[in-house]
Amino acid sequence: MKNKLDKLKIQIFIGILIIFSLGTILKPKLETSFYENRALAKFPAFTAETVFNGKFSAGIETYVSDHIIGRNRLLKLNTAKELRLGSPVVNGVVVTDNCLLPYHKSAADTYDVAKMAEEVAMLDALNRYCAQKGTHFLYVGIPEQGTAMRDAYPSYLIPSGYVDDSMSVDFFRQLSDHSIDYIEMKDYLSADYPHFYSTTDHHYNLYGAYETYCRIVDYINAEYFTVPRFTDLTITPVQNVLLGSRNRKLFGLYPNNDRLYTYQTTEEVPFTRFDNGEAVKSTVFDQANANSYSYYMGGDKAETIIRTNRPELPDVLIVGDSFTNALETLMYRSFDEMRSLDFRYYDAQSIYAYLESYTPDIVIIVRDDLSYIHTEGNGNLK
Amino acid sequence: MLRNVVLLLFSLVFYFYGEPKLILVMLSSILINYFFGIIIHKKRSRVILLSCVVINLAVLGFYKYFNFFITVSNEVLHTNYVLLNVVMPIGISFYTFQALSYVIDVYRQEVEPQYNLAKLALYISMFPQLIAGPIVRYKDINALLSARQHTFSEFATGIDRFIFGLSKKVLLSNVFAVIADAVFALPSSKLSFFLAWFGAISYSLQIYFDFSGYSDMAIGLGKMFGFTFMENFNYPYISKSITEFWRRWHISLSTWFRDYVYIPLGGNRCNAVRHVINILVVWTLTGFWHGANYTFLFWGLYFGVLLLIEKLVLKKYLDRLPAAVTHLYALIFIVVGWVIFRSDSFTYAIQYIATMFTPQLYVDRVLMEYIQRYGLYLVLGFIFSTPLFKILAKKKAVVVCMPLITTGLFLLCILSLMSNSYNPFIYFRF
Repeated sequence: MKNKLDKLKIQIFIGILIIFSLGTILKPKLETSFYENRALAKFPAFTAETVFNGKFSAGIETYVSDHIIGRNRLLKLNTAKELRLGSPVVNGVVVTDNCLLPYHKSAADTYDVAKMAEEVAMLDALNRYCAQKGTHFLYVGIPEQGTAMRDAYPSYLIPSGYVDDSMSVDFFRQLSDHSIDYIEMKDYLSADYPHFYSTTDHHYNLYGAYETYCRIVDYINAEYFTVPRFTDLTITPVQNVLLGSRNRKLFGLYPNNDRLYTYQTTEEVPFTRFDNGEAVKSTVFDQANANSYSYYMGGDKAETIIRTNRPELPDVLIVGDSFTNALETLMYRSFDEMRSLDFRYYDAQSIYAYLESYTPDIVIIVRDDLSYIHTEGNGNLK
Repeated sequence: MLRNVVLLLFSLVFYFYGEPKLILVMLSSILINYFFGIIIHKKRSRVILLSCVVINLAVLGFYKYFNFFITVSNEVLHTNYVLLNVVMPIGISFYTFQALSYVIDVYRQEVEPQYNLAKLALYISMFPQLIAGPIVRYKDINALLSARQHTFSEFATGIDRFIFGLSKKVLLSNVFAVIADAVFALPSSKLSFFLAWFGAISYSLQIYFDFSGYSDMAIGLGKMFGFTFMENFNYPYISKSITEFWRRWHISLSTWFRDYVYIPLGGNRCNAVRHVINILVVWTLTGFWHGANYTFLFWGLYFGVLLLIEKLVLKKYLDRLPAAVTHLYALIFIVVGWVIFRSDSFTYAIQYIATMFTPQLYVDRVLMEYIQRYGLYLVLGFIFSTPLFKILAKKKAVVVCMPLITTGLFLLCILSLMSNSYNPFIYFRF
């Protein structure tokens, strides 16, 4: 009996080693990981230099880790195990009964003062440039979902990357000191965060986007010029369950009923749309992505132009990352031409060069609070 | 012979994979000790033996301690020597001590010299125990280098041992490492009483499961290849005295120092003063072997002093006290010892220990997080620090289920290793 068990054990052990080794070598290699949203490691260069400086062996380890057979299945299994065990933090995501939140290992006592100064200086320069061209400039700050849902953190977990709100307080004070117009959406969205935010994604939902849209339009109407306010809409949930960014890190295993939203209206505004210079379907809701935030505007685009052929209305340029996407589905309705740029992907020219050839009536920068003092991507406004 | 060649090749490739340049140091060590072993056997010269020992220790000293001595010289003697960019070869402490044990045993005529270079190379470089021990004595495997049996039973036992070791390392030690690293990264001003103890206990569990896990994997792999390596750990945290602890912890190192330093110095067969000096020298060297830092030196000395106190004063009291009391006494001193071992500086160690003995009722949020997240692992850590599973493993029901248990553990280890490769894009925005 013991002999049989020993043989069985050996067969299982050797079998597992063979399956993993051969399977990893033979399986087709993926280039990207959907759930990790990154490119997977490439096979390292095999040269005398890389062998002797250790880069080849380090690269092989990363390569094998990224391409081992059954990787996604095993990661998903591990995630399921952790969720079943009730771990409060899984794959860097805080798991509560009602929502998913970002995990903070520690809370910084202070923010990068130099970075804030640099970012404010760029915004100030852009604001002045716009003023010279007769273009209004407006900064819109939006709390990220983790900030909005801070109260949902278990008492024993750190609810923020900073010990207090001095970073955003100081940031907006500096904007004010430099006479840069802004709207801090925290003041409005905090009235009902659960209503305005996704529970499994880091973005606000369409309700939050509509609230933001209303505040922007009201501000423009009060301070700059007249634009129509789109009110004839009924916001309804999309049928599919949303695979939010945080739940994506959990391989979609967090049970939830989070939804994307769309709207119906009787006020049709026909438009033509161009993404990165090419004409595309005239829609702002991408049905092919009805379970991810890319539903709004088809996701992040370097440049989007929507023309509504209403020359009596002003033009707008919106700059920002994915926090602009849901907002754009509403904003175009109040303008003749809406353009949006995402400088994480748009590298054809600087914003200054762009504004030389295109002069909107207003430039709106939309940033979430985790990005206020980031000076790269959409924070790099040189 | 073919088995030895294959095993040697794989061992050298394994080492080359991690140390493509510094493999030359190990190969040089093999060659030097090979020739010295033969010469020492022929000449039986103490001078030649000492030369060989000095060469081995000089190589170890250069790669491991050179910059430490430079730093000490600059601090104490106010010299202005420049530190060198010296990279310590992996496993040099282990294979140097193995090589030393070989030449010394040849001199003592406890073994014949190995005329087959490949066999000696295999002894020194064998990959299972090369990186983290146990320190294998040449005389323990000499015969096995020439003739060893492979049986299904031994191979299966080796698999069990390997998987248990892997589980200790991956499923337990790595978890405790997360806690210990986080706590020990805090400045001493941010430590509280309970958090300090939690961090210290986590580190105690981390180092035990890490080190004993590696030893188990080495012993298991050795068994699969037909070798029997000595046990390196024997549930040290059930010890009821420091003396007992050092009979259960890193046994291969403590016996090495006993046989090759303590006894040649005279051991306890000398006057009392000399005996005390011998103990303090051995334990200072034991600490120093672990790393080139004052903390390691002090850690070794700390245990040397404790052992002396036990031997000379406490033993008669410890023998009379209840086991629970002596067990607690031993654990407190062991855990405090690990704080010294783990600390980056002597000052930090003192501050940390001071916090451990300054009771406060305050419970950190961080501590609550760790308890929530890792409480189960702590319980498992305590359980598997005891021989409970070893006792249960002898029960028939467990023996029958062992393939299932080991398969399950192996898969859990794979899952855990896989989760370490999970690396979402930091700017996870789309």
